[in-house]
Amino acid sequence: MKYIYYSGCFGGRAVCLGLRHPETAVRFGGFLDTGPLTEGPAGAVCVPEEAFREWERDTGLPGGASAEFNLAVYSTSDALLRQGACIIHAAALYYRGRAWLFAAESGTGKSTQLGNWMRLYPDDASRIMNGDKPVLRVTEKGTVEVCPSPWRGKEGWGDDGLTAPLGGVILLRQGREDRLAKADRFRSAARLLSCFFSRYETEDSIRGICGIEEKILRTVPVWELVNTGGSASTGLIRGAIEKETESDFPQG
Amino acid sequence: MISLRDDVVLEKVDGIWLLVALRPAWGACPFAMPVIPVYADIWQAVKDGRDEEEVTGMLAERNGFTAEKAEHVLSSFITSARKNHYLVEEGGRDGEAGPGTEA
Repeated sequence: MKYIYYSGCFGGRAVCLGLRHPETAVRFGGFLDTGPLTEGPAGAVCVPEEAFREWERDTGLPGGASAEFNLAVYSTSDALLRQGACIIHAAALYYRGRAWLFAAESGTGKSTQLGNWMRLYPDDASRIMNGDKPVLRVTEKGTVEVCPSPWRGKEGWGDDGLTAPLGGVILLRQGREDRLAKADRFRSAARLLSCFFSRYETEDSIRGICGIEEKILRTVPVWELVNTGGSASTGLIRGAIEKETESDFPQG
Repeated sequence: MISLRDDVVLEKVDGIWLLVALRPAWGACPFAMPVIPVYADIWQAVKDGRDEEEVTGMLAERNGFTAEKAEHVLSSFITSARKNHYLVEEGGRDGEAGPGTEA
């Protein structure tokens, strides 16, 4: 298979991507340097042939540029894991100087919550950082920062110029009522882990993910929001965030 | 002799022990499952090559269990491991496929 190689930068970490389809590079926008490299360096990240076959089998769609862009998130995250960063399946909201992650499986209400927030609170200086798959990186101080990525989700929501310290994580679960509580540590450790992207082919990748998750669990609150998707559930999150940050914003 | 899958990794995250499945184990085992510390000890001891008698001895020594209690805990672990398809059964069978977890 012939690949075209590009230098990329995700969360301040350099990653060299090898792409089969030239059109795929366009989807990365400013995250890749404009011109392809003349040679593929050692350690370049490529979507493996097996992943394309799985995609075609599972979706019935051809493994073209769209597939390559979507599949590249796994290999890119594995490359970032070797540099203390990774990609997580979550929507990221900037509010009160911090990033708040809404983490959940597809179709569980991440976009609904972001949409509610922007509709209900249009004037409070909150911004959508990334609608689907932001980059997380561990700082030298052992804290976690949320960074933009080209994978913005179906709505294309994202602000590629915005990086912020992680403030907290909200694990979303659909339900018939709206209820927010600090997440049970025993269960949320496994649930949050399933939100990290990796091909999960090596023990090192699992250790890398567990290391980043540990930093999250030790430094920020994790809530579980059972929700109907309505405005009231978004209000619960906002209330919890404001309480969490009230020492920084004593006048509300 | 208990035999555990090689494609499941035991890791500790913020004090919680997790069994995490590598890609080849998906579809057979849970993607990630929290386990109590005594099960984590058993998992590690088995991975280190200890047999059942050595594991029950370790449980008794570390936890102050009676021999009967240690055997009961080990038996419960084996039942749970079998249910979640973590055991490699005799003849190489590793249990019937169970539900996987999206990663």
